[in-house]
Amino acid sequence: MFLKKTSFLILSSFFFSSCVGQAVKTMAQVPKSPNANLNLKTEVKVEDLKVHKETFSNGLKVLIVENHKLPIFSYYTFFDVGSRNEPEGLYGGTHLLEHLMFKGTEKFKEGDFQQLLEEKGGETNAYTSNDVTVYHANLPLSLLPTIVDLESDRMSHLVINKESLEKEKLVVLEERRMRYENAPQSRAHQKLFSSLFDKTPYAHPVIGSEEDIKGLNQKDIYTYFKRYYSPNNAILVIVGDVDTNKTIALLKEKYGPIAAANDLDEYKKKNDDQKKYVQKINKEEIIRLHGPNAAGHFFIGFKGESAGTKRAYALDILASILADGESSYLSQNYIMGKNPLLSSIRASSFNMKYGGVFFIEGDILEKVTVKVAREKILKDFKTLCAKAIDDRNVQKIKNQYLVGFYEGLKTNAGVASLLGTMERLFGDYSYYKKDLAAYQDVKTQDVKKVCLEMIPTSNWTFVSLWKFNRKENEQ
Amino acid sequence: MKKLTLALFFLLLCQGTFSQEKTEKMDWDGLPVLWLSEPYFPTYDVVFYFADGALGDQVSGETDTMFNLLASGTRRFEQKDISDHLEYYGVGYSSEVTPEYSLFHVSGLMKDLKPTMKMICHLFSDATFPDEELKRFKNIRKDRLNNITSSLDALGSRAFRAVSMEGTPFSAPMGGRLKDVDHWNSKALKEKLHYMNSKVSKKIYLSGPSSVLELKDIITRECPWKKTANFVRNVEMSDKLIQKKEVIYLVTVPQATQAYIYMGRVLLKKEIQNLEMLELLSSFLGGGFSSKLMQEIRVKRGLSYGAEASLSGQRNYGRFILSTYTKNESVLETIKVIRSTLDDIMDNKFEGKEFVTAKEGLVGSYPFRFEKGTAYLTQLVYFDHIGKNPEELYRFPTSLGNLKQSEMVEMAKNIFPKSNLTLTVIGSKDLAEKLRPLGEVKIVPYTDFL
Repeated sequence: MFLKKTSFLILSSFFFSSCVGQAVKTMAQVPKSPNANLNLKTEVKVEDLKVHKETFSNGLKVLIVENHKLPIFSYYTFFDVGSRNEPEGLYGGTHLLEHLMFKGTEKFKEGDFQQLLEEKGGETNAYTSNDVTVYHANLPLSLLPTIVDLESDRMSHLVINKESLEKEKLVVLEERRMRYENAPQSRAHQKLFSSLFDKTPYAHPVIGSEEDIKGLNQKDIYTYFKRYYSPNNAILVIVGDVDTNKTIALLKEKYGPIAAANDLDEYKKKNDDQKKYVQKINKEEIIRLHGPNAAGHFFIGFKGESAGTKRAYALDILASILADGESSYLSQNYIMGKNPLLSSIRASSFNMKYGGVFFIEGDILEKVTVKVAREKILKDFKTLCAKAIDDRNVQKIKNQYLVGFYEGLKTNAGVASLLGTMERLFGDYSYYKKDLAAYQDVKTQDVKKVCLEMIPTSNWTFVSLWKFNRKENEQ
Repeated sequence: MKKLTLALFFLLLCQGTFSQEKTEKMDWDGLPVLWLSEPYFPTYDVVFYFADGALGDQVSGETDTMFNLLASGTRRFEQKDISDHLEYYGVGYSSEVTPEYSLFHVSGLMKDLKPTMKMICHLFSDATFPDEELKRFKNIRKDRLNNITSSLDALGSRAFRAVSMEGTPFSAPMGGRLKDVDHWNSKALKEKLHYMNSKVSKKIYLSGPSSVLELKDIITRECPWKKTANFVRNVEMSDKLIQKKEVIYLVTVPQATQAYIYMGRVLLKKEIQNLEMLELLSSFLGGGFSSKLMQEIRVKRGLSYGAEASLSGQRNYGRFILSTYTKNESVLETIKVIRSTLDDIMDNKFEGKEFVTAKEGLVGSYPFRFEKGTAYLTQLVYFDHIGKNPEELYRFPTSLGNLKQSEMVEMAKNIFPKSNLTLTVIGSKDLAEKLRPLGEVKIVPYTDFL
C-alpha cells in the first residue's frame, strides 16, 4: 500500500570477497598506510538455496524455502503488472488497485484482511512499481491457512464498490501530497524520469497525477484487475517454518480452482512491444523547478540499461564507485575536498524490465549556485572515468555488495524478495547464482568501458530544484 | 589466492529458538560484554554502549558531532585513508546519540574483523577532529537545517521535541541547534572523546559466530578504555514538568500543502515502569492497520495515508506521541477525530475484541523480534540501559497475556487527559484560522526550531 520504486539493484545488491588471509595478516597492526598490501581477489563459491519450485496447471508459479529457525514465515505474491501496463486514462490505476485489494471480497468484508492477520501478530503491506505489484506479509506460522485463504480469495473475488473506491482515492491523494508535494526532491526525480523515458510507458508517475487519480473509475479498474490478477500472471514465494508438501497441498486446494486468463500472454506480448520502450534522448536538456529549498538539489541522468544485461552489472558497480560511501570518487571530490560544492551525493543505475536510467543526485551547498555546481560536474565528466575507476575500487564495491547480500538473506522476507525478483525478471529463481557470477565477472575495463560510453559522451538531462528557479520557467 | 567457500544458506538447515541460552555474559578486563551467538552467517555486529549522551553536552550537538567525526582523521591517517580502509572491507559504522546514552555500531564480514576493529580502536585512541573536516561538517549541518522544510516530518519531530519538553534538559535535538554549530571546535571534541574513553561506563554487545570473541585481545589491548570509567548519566525529571493545561502550537512553513499533526506528552520515570502496558496501549492506538487511529482516520474517513502512535523511553523519562498528516482543509476534523478516539478509550467505549486483537497481535509478533541478530541486540541494549532484567524480554508474551482491558483504560486516563497534552501542527500560516476553534494557538515560525 505504499508506493515504492523497486530497483533490481537494491534487491540483488551482491557480491564478493575482500582479501582474506593475507590482508588479515598485513592489517594485524594498523600500518603506516592503511591500504597497503591488499590482496585484491578471492574466489567465492556459493552453495545452493534449497528451493522447491512448482508450476500449477493454471500457471501459478510457487517457490518454497523451508527455514525452521523460528515459527514464522514470509509470504510474497508478485503480479507481473506495473504502471507501464496502464493505458492512457488509467494512469495511477495499478497503484490504486493495489490499495483496493485490501478492501474486501464476497467472502471477506472490508478490514478483514488486516484484522485476521494482525490479531495474531502478522503484518502485511504491498508496493507498486513501474514493472510489478508485490503483496507481502510476515506472519507467525499459525496464519499459514489464513493467508492462503485470503490471498487466493482476493485473486479471484475482489469486490470494488464505489464508496470504497472514492474513499481510497482520498487516501492516495494524501499519499501523493506526502510523497511529492511536500517532498520536492521526489518531484524532481519524477521530472527526470518523465524526461528520460519521454513517450515510453515508463514516463508517467506510478502514483499518477491528481487529475489521473480523480478520474479513475470502478469499471476500468475492475477490468484491469480481471486482466492482470490471474494465477498465470503471478509468482508466489513462501519462506519460513513451513512444510513444503503440506503447503503445496494447501495451495493447490485454494489456488487450484482459479482459472487462468487465457488471452493474457497474447495481450501482454502486444502491450510489451519493444518499440514502445525505446528511449530517445536526442539532446542535452536543463530543467529548472522551483522549490522551497535555499540549497539547490539536482539530478543528472543518462539513458541506462534494462535489468540483467552485462552492461547493467557494470553500471551498478560504476554507480557505487562514484558515490557509495565517503571514500567514493564523487564524495571525495565534491563533499570531502578542500573546496566542497555539495553536502550529499548519490548515484544509481535504475534498471527496469525494458529500460533504465543512470543518475547522479546531490544537494548543493547553499553558498554555491546551481549553475556553478552543474558546470563543474559536467567539466569533470570528461576525465572522471579515467580517474575514478581502478582495480581496487572495483574490488571494494564487490566486497560491499557481499555484505549487503548477507544482510538481505538474514530474514525470510529478504530471501522471498530475492527469489521472487529473479523469477519475475528472468523466469528462473536460480538466476541469483548467475547474478552473483555476473558481478564477479565484471572487470575493471568493463566498468571503464560503460563509463566512457556514457558519461563523457551521451546526452544527459539535468534537473534542478531550487528556491531561485523561477516558477514561470518550469517546463 | 585463497579459496573461500561461503555456505550462504546454512541458516536454512539450522534449528534455533529465541532464548537467553543464545546469549553469554563475559568480563573483558573490567569491560562487561554480552555475546549473542549467531552462527548462521560469516558476519558480525558490535555495539559499543557509552553511559552518557547528549545530556552531557555543554554545547548542544557536541557528543553527536564527536561520534560523527570520529573517522575524520587521526595523527597517522587522513579522513580519506580511514574511510577507504573501512569501506574496502564493506564495514558499516555509525553512531547513535540519545539524551542518556550513546552507541557506536560496527558490522562487517568475520574474516575482516581484526583489521576493522584495530582501526576502530585506533580511531577511539587517536582521533584528532581536524579543523578542515570540522568546518566542512559544520557547513553541511547548517545547510541541512536551513533546508529542513524539504522534510516536514523531520521538522515536525524536531519542533515537537522542543515544545513538548520545554524547560527540561531533554528538549535540545541530539544533533544540536543552528545557533550552537559555530561553537563546536576541535579541542572540545577531543576532550569529549577523552571523557568518553576515560570516565564513562561502557558495555560491549556482540553478535556473530564464536570467533567474534577473538575481539577480546584487540579491545583490551588497543581500545583506550579505562577499567575505572564508571560514570553513568542520570537526570531525573520533576513531576512539575507535566503540564496542567493543553498547549497548542502552529509551526508555520511557507507553501506547505499538508498539515503534520503531533499530539503527546512526556512520561515521567514512574510512568514508564509498566513497559508491557505502554507498548500495548501504543499498539492499540496506532500500531498497525487495524489500530484505532488508522481505522478512524484512514479507513473510515480517508483523511490521511498514515497515522501512528510511538512510544519511546529512556531510564528516566519517556514520550508518547500520536502523529498523522492531512490536507490543510481537514486539519480540524483530523484533530477532533484523534481527540474523540482518546476520549473513547478513556471512557472504555470500545469493543473488547479490539483490545484482544491488539494484545494477541503483540504476542503473535513476538518471534519477529529475534529474526535478525541486530534487532535482538538492540533490545538487550535497551533493557540493560533502563535497568530491566533481560530475562523480562523472554517473559514478555506471558506478561502481556496477563494484562486486562481495565488496566489499559486506567493507563490511558493517566496519560491522555487533554490538559496534559501538547498539540503541534506543522503547516502553512493559513491553518491558524482553521485551528482557532481549538482555543489559544501559539504561532511560531519554523525557523525558531532550527
